[in-house]
Amino acid sequence: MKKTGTKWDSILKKVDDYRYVIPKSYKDGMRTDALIFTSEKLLPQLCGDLSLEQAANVAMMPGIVGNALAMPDMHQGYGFPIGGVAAMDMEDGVVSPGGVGFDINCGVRLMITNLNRDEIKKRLPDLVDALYRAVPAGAGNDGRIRLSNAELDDVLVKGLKWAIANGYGSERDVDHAEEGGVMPGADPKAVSDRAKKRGSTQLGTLGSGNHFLEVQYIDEIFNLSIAEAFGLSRGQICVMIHCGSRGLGHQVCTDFLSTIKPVMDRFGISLPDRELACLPINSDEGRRYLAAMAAAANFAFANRQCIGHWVKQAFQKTFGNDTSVELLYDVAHNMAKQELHQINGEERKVLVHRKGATRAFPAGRKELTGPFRDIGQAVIIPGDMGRASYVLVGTEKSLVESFGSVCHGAGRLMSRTQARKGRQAKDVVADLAKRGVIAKATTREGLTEEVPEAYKSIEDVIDVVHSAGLARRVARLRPLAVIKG
Amino acid sequence: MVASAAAASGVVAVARGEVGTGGEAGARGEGDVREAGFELLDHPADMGFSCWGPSLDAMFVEAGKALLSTLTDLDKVASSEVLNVELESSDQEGLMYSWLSELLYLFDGEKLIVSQFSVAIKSGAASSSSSWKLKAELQGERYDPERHQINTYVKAVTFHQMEIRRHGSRYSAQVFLDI
Repeated sequence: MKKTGTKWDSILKKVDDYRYVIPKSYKDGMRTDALIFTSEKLLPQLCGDLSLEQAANVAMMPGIVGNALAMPDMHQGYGFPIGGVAAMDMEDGVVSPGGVGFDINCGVRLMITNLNRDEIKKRLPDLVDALYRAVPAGAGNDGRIRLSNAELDDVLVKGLKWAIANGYGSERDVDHAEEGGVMPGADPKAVSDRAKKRGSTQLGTLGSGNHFLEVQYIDEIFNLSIAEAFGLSRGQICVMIHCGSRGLGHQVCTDFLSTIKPVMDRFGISLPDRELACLPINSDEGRRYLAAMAAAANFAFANRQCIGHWVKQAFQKTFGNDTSVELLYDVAHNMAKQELHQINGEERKVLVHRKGATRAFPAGRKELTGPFRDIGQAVIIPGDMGRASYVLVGTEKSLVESFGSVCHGAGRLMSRTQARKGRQAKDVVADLAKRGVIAKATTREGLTEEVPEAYKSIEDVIDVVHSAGLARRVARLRPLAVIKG
Repeated sequence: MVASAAAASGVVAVARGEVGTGGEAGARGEGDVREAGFELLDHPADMGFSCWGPSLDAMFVEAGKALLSTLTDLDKVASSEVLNVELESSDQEGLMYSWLSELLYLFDGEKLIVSQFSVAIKSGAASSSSSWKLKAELQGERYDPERHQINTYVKAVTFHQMEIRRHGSRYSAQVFLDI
């Protein structure tokens, strides 16, 4: 194993080129090993922050089934590392709001069009303007949709289906979203008035930070038959939308974290990191969290559906009403899902936390509907705003090793402060322009903090995912324009 | 006043550049020339701050200022509205979490930016689930996109490496925010 000059040199065990293990003997309280999917190239970066320690902490959680897992884009998070996956037993296990994240159902969708790069080149600036006007973005900027209390409750229960019923997108989109865009078990009564207040003006907004809308083109096809089955071709224009449940989801997580400690004390749960705070799944409080989480998740599905619809309208406005803009797939990367998995030869229902990780199911899984049941799930992985993003397809191997999970993006390398240092927004815009990318953001920091250099190389991350057999490359996309909050 | 001058300069304080460190960042209090103040901290994915004051109440005020300064320039925020809040929690860190989350909610949910704070904290019986109580009088202004530029949208307050330390009668804290 290559030396990193950190304590991990004597702790990590190399299994093969893409798998490393923190054995449960590393520290007291670990109930299982932590399996880290990474490479020799990415390893030094991991050892530079707390993410490996956090992976070891996840292995301490009560009721954990199988290994604690970390994906190759892993970096330091809150409690869980970002890129962390952990499955819990439904009877003895816990649900951790921090293992889902503040941005519940932060996720990404890819819309595919019938346009190619050459066709849109001349009118790209017009398209970008149309998109910028069509999709509310940035902090403090409310959306155009105003919801009454009853309507918001409807969104929380019906998610994507609410959006379709209200004219955003169409019925076929249900087969093109994880969970059909509706998480079961959502209960609006489990969501606080505060969360609803925040959400009531934020449906159909992009938000800020690392959320974005990107116009892309497919520059490489790796698997022709799957690409064709997905409807992808070289040069094709696509739009990637990355956002989540906005203030509603953030408030749901905050609400539960505020009051969780006395509940944990009552159940005698003690963990090394307060952000790992958790509730027994089989408790009133645990069930309440899951019901609130599902509601917030549905808000995010509806959010992305509304934005997707406006993206289509912006395209049609710019290129004509017969322009086709359809959803390929919509995935979550902050979620806890009840799923059946084979564990030691037995099929068991477990709660799979994916914190900055994406579900990647193979063909045949009953959760996949429409064309994906036969092909396998489309896995959408955004890179950073200067380089590349990927579409992959889920594999059987991921079911065996990672509860059907892969990375969610490139993973940050640089803190926001470091990224901002010495960088001016106008330089970032100019730099991206040199790479042929138009960038538009509502804040300076939206650009400077999100520069490509602030992220790991998406190529290195995807290389691990593909080479470890967790998912297979289908297509690579390059940005043409990025809109950020 | 020392406190508000410190708060104003705290907005542009240099980030410490320490990745993921716990202890030292929160240990301000001894030998610092400003009686009360705050400073931004570096973090791999998001951001944080350390803050300090001559009392627990004063330190909580600085924490509030640090959070809201991350959102927007407080010197552009008037004090046209007054609001009283009462919060409680089972422990000090929980109280800090609830306090900062309250301020964040007021911004994102009620569109109220708080610029002035007066805080009084009491600790109750140790065995009670609401041992710590905070009362605050807040002054601020409704968010106006024409006058208030949002610097950074804060998603949430985290417990990540949260520390509250006491140095005699002085207090300091470290808090990280999810951006």
